[in-house]
Amino acid sequence: MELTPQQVQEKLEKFVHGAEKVRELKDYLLTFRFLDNHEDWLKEELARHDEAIEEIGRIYQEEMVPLVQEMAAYLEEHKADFETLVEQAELEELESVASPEAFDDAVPAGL
Amino acid sequence: MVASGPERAESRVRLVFPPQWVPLNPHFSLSALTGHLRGVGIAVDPWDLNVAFYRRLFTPGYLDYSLARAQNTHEFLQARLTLGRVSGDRSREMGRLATRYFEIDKYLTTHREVWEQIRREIPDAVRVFDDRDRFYDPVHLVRAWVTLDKALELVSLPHHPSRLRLNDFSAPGLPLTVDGLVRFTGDAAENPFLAFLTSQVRPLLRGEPRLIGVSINSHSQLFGGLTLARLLRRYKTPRTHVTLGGNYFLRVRQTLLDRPIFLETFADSVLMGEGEASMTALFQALEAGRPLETVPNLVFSDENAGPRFTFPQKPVPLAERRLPDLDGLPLKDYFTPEIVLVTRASKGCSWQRCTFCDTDYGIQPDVRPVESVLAEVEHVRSRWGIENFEFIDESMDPAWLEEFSRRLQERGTTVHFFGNGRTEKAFTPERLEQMARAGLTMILWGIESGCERIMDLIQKGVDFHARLDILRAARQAGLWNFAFIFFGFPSETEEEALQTIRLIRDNRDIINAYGRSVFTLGKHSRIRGSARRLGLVDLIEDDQEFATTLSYRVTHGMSREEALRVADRCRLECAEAFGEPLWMLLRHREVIHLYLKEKGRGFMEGYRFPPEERQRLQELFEPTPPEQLGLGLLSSADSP
Repeated sequence: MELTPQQVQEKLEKFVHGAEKVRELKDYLLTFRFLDNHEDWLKEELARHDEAIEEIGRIYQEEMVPLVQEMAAYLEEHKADFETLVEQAELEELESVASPEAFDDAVPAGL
Repeated sequence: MVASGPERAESRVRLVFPPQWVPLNPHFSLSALTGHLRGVGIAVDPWDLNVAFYRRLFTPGYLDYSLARAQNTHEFLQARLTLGRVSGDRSREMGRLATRYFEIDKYLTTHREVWEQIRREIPDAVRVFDDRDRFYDPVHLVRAWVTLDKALELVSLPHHPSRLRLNDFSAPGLPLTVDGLVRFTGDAAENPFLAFLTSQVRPLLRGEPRLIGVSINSHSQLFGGLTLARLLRRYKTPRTHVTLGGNYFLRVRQTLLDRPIFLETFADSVLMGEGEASMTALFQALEAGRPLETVPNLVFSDENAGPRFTFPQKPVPLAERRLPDLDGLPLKDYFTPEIVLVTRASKGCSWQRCTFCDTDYGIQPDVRPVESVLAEVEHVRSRWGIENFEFIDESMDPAWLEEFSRRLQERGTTVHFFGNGRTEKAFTPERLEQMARAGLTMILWGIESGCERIMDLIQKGVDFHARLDILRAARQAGLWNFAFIFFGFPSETEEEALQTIRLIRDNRDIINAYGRSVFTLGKHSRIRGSARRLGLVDLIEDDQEFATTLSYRVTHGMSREEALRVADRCRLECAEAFGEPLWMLLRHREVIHLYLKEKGRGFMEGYRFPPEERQRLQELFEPTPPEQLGLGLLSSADSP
């Protein structure tokens, strides 16, 4: 399988989009902890609660897992290239840490 | 535990005080307006959602919620930052998300045990504020403060770098514009108030009250207050009218008129200035079906013409206002074992010439008769058992204070109080002694600067050389002298700022405590008009339409960053000179007052926090640096 950098980025964007939706749904589920004193409200929201859980499962299964599988297969095929890229990235990271202006633009290494 | 909830009685008006504000006592706006409206026959429920918010935050359950949110955010940010790396995104926004990721990561990996530690400690820390014996024991109180600090650091993590504290909420990088506020109030990822306030909307709207007033009095309340207003506007029925009020809006009135989206998003109307007359008129107009044009001091959206201001009307004179009413407020939930009730004997400043100041903007000066304040004090004392009062007058009149004190003593009324003062010669030794005998514990003096040239520019209107004599007399009368100082007035040099530090450091025998701040250029301050003419600044920018301050560039003297550094130097030098005194650990002026009342000035001056306990606290809450633990920083005194 061959992917252009543009295609890799598009797949990542799709993955991040799914991850953001999952985060929003998980955060929504957490708000149920605030409804402990409001029984009527809680009952009304329970249907949405179940829908949210189903939706999280669907996003994982249908959107995110296939992307991960696809990317994993791609990386397996290009293992050597990938290791070189990681080395370059680590080198860049070291240089950026050494720069006094790095703080604002810092991005964690190894991701 | 909290006052808000479905069990509350239904009323036609609900007054809501949203987060964020220091949850030490009921805010003046809530107790005063509730009293006035009830006094004119309107059924009103006060809802202090600020103290309810903090009570909820300081529970193991909320910490669990925050931990789960931090984990959700961490997981998402891993993916988001990877994408940023691949796409070469080096934007400021990416940098902000990266710092959030690292901050959360620290507490999910190397310092994970802190969550459990705080979860374990937090119930007992909260109980300290309900327990007189432990509250008045500095070891217990400081440990409780530090635990609450750490809890607030943890619950802020999912929203980093936005930060909740007991005395502030800050959202660095968020522009104070209408668009910025619209974005923030609807953004669950950024807004730490949204989940809690959403849970309060249904109880607040229960029974379709005719009018809900949301009170916003400060910058730190804007975020929670507008979040709540937006939720109310979204979920209410047409019968309920949501209005915003409070000191803040008068300062941004033109923005409300220029930006229709504000009213479309947040409220049906906004009340300008003091609320007693306008709120009454608004409720009566709604009940009678009269048009909003008939309500004074109101900004509302006209169907045809968009936002408009109705007409001005003078506020109700202080002498005609009803007594404050605390019924319905959760008095046991505030974070002191004894309420210090906020009141005022006057409004507006009698001097009105200090160039840096805008606290009296839009306020019509007025003074209450002594009899009226005495009646209030005695009513509050007999009805709710409250004996402690904080006068929030811009500056208290010495002659008025003397008469008040004399008559308090004549009646045999036992109360304890404190307030603000200017170092006027009318504060004679005899008067100060009279005040101290009647229960005055402390005066917060506007000292401002130790440099005569700066004091001349400020136009404080007091005798620069005689002011320490007044402090000496206050000290001899047994009072506690608290000095407000600030750095960075345009053109102030570092050497001039150091004179202020020396003034505090070298007069510790008569200056018991201080609160420091750094100059900000208020949109309505007197210096705004003259700063450029005097050659103090060469650039003034109104770049944030909803801010009450302006950006500026000085032509000479210290920059803002340099002033901040000097302010920090002041903290370090004075902490050493004062020998890390107790008052620095008590943090809030209300708490200093309570300690003065309960333990006396001698205890305050002589007490030293046990070094082994200090060490224990520092070790307990690693990795927070000691200077952020409040061990050596009077945080609430930092506000101007």
